[in-house]
Amino acid sequence: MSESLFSWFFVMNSKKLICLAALLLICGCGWIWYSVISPQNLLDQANELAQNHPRQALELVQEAMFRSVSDYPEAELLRVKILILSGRREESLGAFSLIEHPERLPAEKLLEIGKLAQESRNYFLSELAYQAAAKNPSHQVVALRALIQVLLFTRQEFKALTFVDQLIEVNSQDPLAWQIRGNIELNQRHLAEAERAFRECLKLTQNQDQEQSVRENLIQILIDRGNVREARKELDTYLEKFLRTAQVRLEEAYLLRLEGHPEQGLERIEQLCETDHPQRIKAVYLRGLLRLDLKNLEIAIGDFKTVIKQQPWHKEAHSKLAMAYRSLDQIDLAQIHAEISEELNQKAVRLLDLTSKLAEDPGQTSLRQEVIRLNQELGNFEEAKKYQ
Amino acid sequence: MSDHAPRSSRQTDWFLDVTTKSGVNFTHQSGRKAGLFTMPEGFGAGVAVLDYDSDGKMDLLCLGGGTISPDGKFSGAPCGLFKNNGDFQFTDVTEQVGLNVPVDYSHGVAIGDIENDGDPDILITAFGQSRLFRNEEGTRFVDITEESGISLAGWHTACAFGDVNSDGLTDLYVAGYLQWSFEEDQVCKDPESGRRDVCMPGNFPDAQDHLFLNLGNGKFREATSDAGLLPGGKGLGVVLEDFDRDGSLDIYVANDVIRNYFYKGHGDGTFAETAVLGGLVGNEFGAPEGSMGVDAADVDGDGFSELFVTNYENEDNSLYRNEGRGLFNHQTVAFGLSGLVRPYVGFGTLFLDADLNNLPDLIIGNGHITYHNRQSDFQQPSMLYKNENGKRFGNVSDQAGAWFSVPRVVRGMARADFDNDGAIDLVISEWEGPISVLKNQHKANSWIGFTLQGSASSRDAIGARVQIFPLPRFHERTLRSGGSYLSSSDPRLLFSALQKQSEPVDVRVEWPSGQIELYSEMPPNQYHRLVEGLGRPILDTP
Repeated sequence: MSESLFSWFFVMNSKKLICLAALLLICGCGWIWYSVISPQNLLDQANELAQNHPRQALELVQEAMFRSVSDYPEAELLRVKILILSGRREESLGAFSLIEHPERLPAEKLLEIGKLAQESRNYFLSELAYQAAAKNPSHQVVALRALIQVLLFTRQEFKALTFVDQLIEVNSQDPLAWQIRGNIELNQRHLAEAERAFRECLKLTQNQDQEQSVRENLIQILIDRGNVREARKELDTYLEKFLRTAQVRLEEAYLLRLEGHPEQGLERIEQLCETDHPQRIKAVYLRGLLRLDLKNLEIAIGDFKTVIKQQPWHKEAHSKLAMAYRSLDQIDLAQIHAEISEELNQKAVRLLDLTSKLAEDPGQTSLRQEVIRLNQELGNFEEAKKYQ
Repeated sequence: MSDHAPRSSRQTDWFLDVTTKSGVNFTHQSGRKAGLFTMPEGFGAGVAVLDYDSDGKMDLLCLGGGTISPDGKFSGAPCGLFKNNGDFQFTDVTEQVGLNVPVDYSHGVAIGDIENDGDPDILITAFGQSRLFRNEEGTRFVDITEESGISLAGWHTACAFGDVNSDGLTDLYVAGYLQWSFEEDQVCKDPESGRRDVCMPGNFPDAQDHLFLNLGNGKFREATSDAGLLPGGKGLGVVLEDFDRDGSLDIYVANDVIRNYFYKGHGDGTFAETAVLGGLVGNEFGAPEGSMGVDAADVDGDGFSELFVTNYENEDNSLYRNEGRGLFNHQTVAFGLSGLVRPYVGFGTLFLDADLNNLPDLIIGNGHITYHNRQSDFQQPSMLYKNENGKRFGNVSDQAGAWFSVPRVVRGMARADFDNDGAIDLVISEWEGPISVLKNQHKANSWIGFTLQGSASSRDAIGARVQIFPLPRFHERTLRSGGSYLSSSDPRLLFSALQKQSEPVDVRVEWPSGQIELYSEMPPNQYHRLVEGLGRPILDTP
């Protein structure tokens, strides 16, 4: 009895044990699969290795994709990240373009890709990632702002404007969106549109720094639009709230010139001309103009020479220097600077032409080199860098 | 034509729109309706003032532009000649004088007496073949293009007559604009909206300007290559005058998007281009602008004519103060002309003493060229500036008149004293719009006017200078040709605000031939014909 019981117990227990063992085995395998070789785990491991061991990380990602039963966009996104970090620009862009619906991926990860791509100057990829992230309502504002930044940096201002409008559509009370819009319009010399955008921004902003910056731009726009009366009004409003910045001193001096008060204009900028302020050369140039207006030819010549010494490409200073020499009957010197000015003008016209041609056909290396060279010769070093 | 209703007229308005009652019923056609966004369709056409029948009253020639077929074929619309019957009444005599002939798509007009016979002849520039019409004793105009030797196919715009080689015959300068054809057109779109629009001139190569020397008997010889003209150009405004007072006609050409030209004349039909050193290239800082119209006048009374050029939007118009010797100084800011017009695209412009104080005031006609512009409207207001004692200009547009109270698309304009009352009136052409005749409402108390007739000089006497005594301020006038935009103005010289209102004046004329003559005891408040050789010769300046 006891033996049979034992046997029965043994038989029964062995079955259970087998089941238990099988269960343990399955759990163990599951645990091992889950913790060691599951696609997600492989991705986690790959993510950890991405920064320092991109090759291994890439292998893990590929393994994860292989093990995944269906499409695995998260893995593809990580692959993009690793490729960016490895400096494989073309491949990273290619990999991203293989993701069928990037907008369905977590917006945080897309923003991360956008940022990494931007940092590695892979701007097109960055643009695509931010665009995808911007489809996610909870991250739309952040993504749109980042996207606009990239587009502005890559000189795609028209495209940027579309996304600024989206930003405004999401929140028309966002003063930053209006400010960005104003800045884009201002860069394109769309002065009326810029003025409208800045005025919207001013209606909404509670931020003093933002208000100050926008008002400074607004004064400049009104001067450039030739609306002297409005510019004066805006300047007076500004001075009620803020101290004069160097920019505003320059604007005020220029405004005084337009109002027919060059002497007062000189007073406003005299101090700027003596300091090592970044705006010094602008101030010295303006001082030259004002002195020329006042027929103080010799000292105006000194100012233009100072400007040209610092910025030999300053075509306006050459032109004005020529005028001053001419008025002093120093025709030979006048001729030299008039011709330099003319030569620089022709280069500027040529640059405009080539830049638009390059925009149509960005792959033309020789054209690109010419655009870079002309930008450098005309002192547009930042522009030149963008094309490099 | 403006989409807006003008304000009602006031008695104090400087100008009164008398178009309706004048009988001048003429509308320019651009071909815009074809919807092809071609380059030529935006530039409009000019107007000319001439006394074609020598009856002492200034008549009016209007250019019709043209139409464009759906497959891009350009056809010229007929021009219209309106005879002045006095008291601002005009009769359409186009058919009667034989001008109802097909011309190509017309733009510009110049008036000059090519045979020194006293009958003003007409050159009409076009996109296509420009044409020269000889005036046969004030009764008929005959197309003599082929036999004249003036061969101008392509796209030509501004033009002006003047004797540039001092042979007593009036020569011809014609500005070329673009090398453009419908077949080689480009599709241009507004970069933001993506909407199709007309292209910018920078998209196409320049067209060559031309100089034709008059050989007599209605024959001309092309002298472009010998004259020292620069290759190419995108000219829209031309004015001829002896700017440096050296006895030879100079030529100023306002170019669109490239730098402007100043041809300093040598008096033998050759020129030196000196705009760079002369300070006449473009804006205040020597950069080229989109220049369209141009006019000249002695704004500050120093005896040298200033130049004024209208420009594209976001650019100031340019006032170049003449410092003598062919040297000019950009003085737009100093003269208070910077700013207000920057939102506008300037075309026709004229200096005219509108308020009869003997100081040249300034009128500017505006109107956009691209159809879809976010910055400014297609129709734009015209402006009137009052000369403030030769030192500055003040904006008096709100006093200019009801016509000025609405935005339009103005192109050409010319000045004329249509009713011979000593007050300069205006005629203005609009793109796809009617010709407007504006009567100057100021009453001239004391004035005197002159028609100059050269003998040793060419009969037109372009470049002649007239002074009157006793000397009121701004006592000198110069006879120039060209100016404004594609237009030609009343060739007579007019002085207002005489020092002694009812007393006769003495007149000193420096003829282009170099002859200086005095004409004595000329009664005021009328026009006089001064004939070279009939005055008392004088050797020295008084």
